[in-house]
Amino acid sequence: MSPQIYALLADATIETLFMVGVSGLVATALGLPLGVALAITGRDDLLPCLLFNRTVGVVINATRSTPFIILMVAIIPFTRLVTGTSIGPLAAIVPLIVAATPFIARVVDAAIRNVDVGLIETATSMGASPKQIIMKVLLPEALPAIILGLTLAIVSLIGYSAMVGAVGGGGLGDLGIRYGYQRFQPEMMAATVAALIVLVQLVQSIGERAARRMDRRRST
Amino acid sequence: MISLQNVGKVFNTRAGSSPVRALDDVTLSVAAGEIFGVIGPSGAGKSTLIRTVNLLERPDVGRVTVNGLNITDLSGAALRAARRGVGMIFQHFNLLSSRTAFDNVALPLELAKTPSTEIRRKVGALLELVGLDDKRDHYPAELSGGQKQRIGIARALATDPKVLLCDEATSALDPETTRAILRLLADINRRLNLTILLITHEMTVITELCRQVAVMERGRIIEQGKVLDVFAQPRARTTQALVKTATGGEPPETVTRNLLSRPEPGSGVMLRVVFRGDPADQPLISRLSRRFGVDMNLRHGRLDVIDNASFGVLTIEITGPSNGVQAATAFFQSHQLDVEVLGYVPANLRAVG
Repeated sequence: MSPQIYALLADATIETLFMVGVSGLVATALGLPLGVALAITGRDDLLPCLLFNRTVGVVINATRSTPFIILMVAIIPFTRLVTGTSIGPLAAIVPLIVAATPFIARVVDAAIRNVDVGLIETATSMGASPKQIIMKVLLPEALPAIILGLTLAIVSLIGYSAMVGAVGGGGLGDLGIRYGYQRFQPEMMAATVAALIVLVQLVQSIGERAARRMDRRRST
Repeated sequence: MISLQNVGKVFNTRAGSSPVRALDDVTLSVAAGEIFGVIGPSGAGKSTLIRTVNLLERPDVGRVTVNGLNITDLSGAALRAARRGVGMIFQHFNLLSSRTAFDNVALPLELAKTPSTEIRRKVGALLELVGLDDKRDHYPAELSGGQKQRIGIARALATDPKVLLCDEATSALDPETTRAILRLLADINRRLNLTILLITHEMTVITELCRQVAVMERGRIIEQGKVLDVFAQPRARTTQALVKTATGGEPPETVTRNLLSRPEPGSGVMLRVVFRGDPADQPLISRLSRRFGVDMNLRHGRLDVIDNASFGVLTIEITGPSNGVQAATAFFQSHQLDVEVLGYVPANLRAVG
């Protein structure tokens, strides 16, 4: 492989990391509270609010069932409103956030619902307020599952980010399409796929290790 | 200290099936420093009953008063403050897996916004009280069931409650660990003058720990009073069945088979004698044996000590001269012991004296 390929690969990897990193952070900041809100507003939950719960649930399901490539194109007006442009890495981050936020919300929702209801009851019997129950019981107990869910979300984001070449977002996927596919450079295609595999592997093993270290449910 | 007045609670189950009356006009009162047990079969409403005391379950009707405070009137911050005065321990311990033993005990103090130096002092003392100061940095997954319940007890005591609720606290433990936990609870009751309300389906918990008992069935309290009184003269069928499990039940078939329904010359007698209270403290059997010249053979039974009095049921075979056998039987009856003649032992089968 020529040095030119390395340079292209390095640039594309940085672009991917940038897009995934920023959208992952923003989506977590939005999805985590949303997931907590979902988990505590169901019928028999801490602060039941069925209207909110159902509405948000429907929106999340709608977003999640839309293929990413369609979602990305469909929300171009919104993207332009937020970033002032519909082209480039910054414009690519918006659809990534829109796709990842509901994903993360669902993951957090599921993780919190898996916390033993006995613990909520115990904290209630100690005179804990709903906020204290969330901060001192639900989130710490669900943390290993949340970390695993976030790992899954980032892996999905890496996959999605390979599609944002369609709006000029750049990144590894875009490189693979433009050089590997359109310019018939199979070694470029192989290199981008390899880079993506390494990236996913890395994220997955870091996430799993972190979750395992935090999980105290089994004796070591 | 705890008083429930005409408390009722109905659970509406799935549409179609009829609602479940979990508590039906329950009235009960627990004096300060008392250990009060509620026993009954599963589904009797015991769990719902204990959970109304800290309003984990809000009753539909009736009043619940704890330490002079009508908690059924409370909500929000006032209710949360009242709950801090009532500790609770659970069948499955309900410790946070993400916290060490120390941090689990510290949780209620953190919730009450106690300063951290105070938390450190208090948690240390509590871990010592339950005998687990060497496990402070262990996570629940590294502790045995008994140790987990000790942490649960330390945690329940952290906010200096006047009342401790025990929701089947020993039901997930083996008999030996159960005894140790019951001893700890008795010790705490004495040292801290703590009022304990517990629910259980195990008779041994009642006989070993409680002074007052209420028997529940289908949402109602069917019998209540001093443990010895209730179990010595059980009126309700459920109570009688419970007593039977505690006293070793009916004598086995090998003891009762071949018994005759009426006496015949030279036959002995098989008696089922209920001991309650003082008579069991006297050397009754040997005295009778000497006095009437009969042989007494213990065939089956069990004696316990409840509230410093002996309690149990023994199956006794009396053989010897027929006037002696009759006199001994009459003696048992005259000493206020509950005596039932199970049958007569044929002369050729009776135990050799």
